[in-house]
Amino acid sequence: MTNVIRLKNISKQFGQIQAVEDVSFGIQENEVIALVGDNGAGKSTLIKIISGVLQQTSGSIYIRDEEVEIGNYNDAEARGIETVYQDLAITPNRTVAQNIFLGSEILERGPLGRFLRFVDDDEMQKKAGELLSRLELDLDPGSAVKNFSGGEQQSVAIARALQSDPDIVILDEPTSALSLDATQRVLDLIKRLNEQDVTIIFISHNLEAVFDVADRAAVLASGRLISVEDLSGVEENELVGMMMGRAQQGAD
Amino acid sequence: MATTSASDIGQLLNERFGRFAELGLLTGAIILLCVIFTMTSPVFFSVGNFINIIRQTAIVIVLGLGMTYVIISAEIDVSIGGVMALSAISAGLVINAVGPVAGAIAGLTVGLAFGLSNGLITIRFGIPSFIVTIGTLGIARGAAFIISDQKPIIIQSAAFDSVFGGSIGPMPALVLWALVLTVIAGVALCRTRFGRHVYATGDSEQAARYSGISTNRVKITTLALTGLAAGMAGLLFIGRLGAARADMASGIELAVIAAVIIGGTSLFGGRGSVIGTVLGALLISIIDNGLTLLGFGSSWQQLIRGVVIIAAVALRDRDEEGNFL
Repeated sequence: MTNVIRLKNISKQFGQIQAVEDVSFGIQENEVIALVGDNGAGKSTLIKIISGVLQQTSGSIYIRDEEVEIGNYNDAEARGIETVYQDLAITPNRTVAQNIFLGSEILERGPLGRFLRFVDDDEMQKKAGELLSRLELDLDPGSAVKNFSGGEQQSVAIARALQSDPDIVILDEPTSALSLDATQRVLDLIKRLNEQDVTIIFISHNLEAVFDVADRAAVLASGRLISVEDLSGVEENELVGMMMGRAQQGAD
Repeated sequence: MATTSASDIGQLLNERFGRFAELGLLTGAIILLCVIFTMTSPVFFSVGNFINIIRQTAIVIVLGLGMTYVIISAEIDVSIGGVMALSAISAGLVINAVGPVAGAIAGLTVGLAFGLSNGLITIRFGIPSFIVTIGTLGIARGAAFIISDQKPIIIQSAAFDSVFGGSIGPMPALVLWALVLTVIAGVALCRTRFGRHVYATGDSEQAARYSGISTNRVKITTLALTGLAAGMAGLLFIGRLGAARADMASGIELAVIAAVIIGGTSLFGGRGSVIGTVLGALLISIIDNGLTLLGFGSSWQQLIRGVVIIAAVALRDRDEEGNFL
């Protein structure tokens, strides 16, 4: 199967701290891969490198076998990578449609509208409605996001990431602050995305959720890659053992 | 027995009427005040008095336009009074030495330069804009006293007077300037991509940044625009009075911030409108005007203005935990 992203010997150092050390693995087209590991394992640093928030100290990133430099958010977006961050990257007082098109507002078509950079609210509302329908999300695109529950707000954040039609979506702890019901709704949404040929990198502490949605899991501990496991051939306690065992070794 | 607090009323209004609740409430308050003052003062309800009110309000509105942008982007600028004075003094000196066009350009340039400096210092050095602009307030006011030698600058240009201080029919030019600038600022905030980025930056800077918006650039721009508005207000002030003084507009920043907050703009950023600021400024002016006509002095005006600010914020919409939105 084709690697849509390949990380080769990625390391990241913050002063004296080695956050990620010599990590190499490939992410296959249309899979859901989970990044798992204890706190401080290097998961968030790794996805920040892939999404352009941080730059690696050494190592290379390949997208479809082409070596790329992802220097910022715009580079990542141009390469078809979108990220939904743990801390709900939404603006609560804005509407669903305004959040979905945040930073990528559609401008009015007329020459004056384009010159003055007027946003086309009707068009954004229409396109947001279409996107929400495709994701089977029953949300009013004209409502302010603050009026929604945590799970619905997370769904808006995920829908926002899909607005640019990315190949790869990175979800950083998308269910960490949610109730059981809301978690299940978000997991169902992730499955629907994957059915629509989106490759998903999923970070979670919730191993039940990982086994529910992911095909494979990359296990990290103390900044190192321990193993990449096919989840159909591994038990949850084995995965925990890999996370903890290596973490203890690292501590030793 | 259940009790109803001010925040409950605010919540209820917001649920029923959404974002128009606050503007409706403000308009209602303005109408109510007009009715009360009409009943209590024989001279309040007259064309002359209304023109007087909007003339008094116009400069606060022009300053409030910039302040609305900057507060929505979750920053603040308390230097506007000093910057306005320095812009007016600079404009006055250049008008008398070179001419009205060069003078107007000088006034606006000083305002813009101070605003831009406020923005760059705030962002590049990571100092809160409140602190930076307290500093530049002192710098600008001090510079205004130094370069004017503590003397008023009398403007000697009929052309400048007619553009900034004249009138078209019964309408003072000052008011027309405020009207035109209000429309431009309101449309830009509501309809343009930049306006949306201003709201997003104040609403959640992190979310805006993650969406590829240069929040630093947005904040520098809003602070620069506030400086430019202070420069413009300086020109309008000398157009109105025919002279520039270093001690002019002392303390005006508090009146402007009050107008913006009463108008529904959240001090925490992300929420607010230009029309709200205009209504907030009008409310304050009507209170001041009505109380003056009834014989109450500036002490009462200050006291009642304080009560109005607290009441306006108490009626605000809050989240489930009781925090202001």
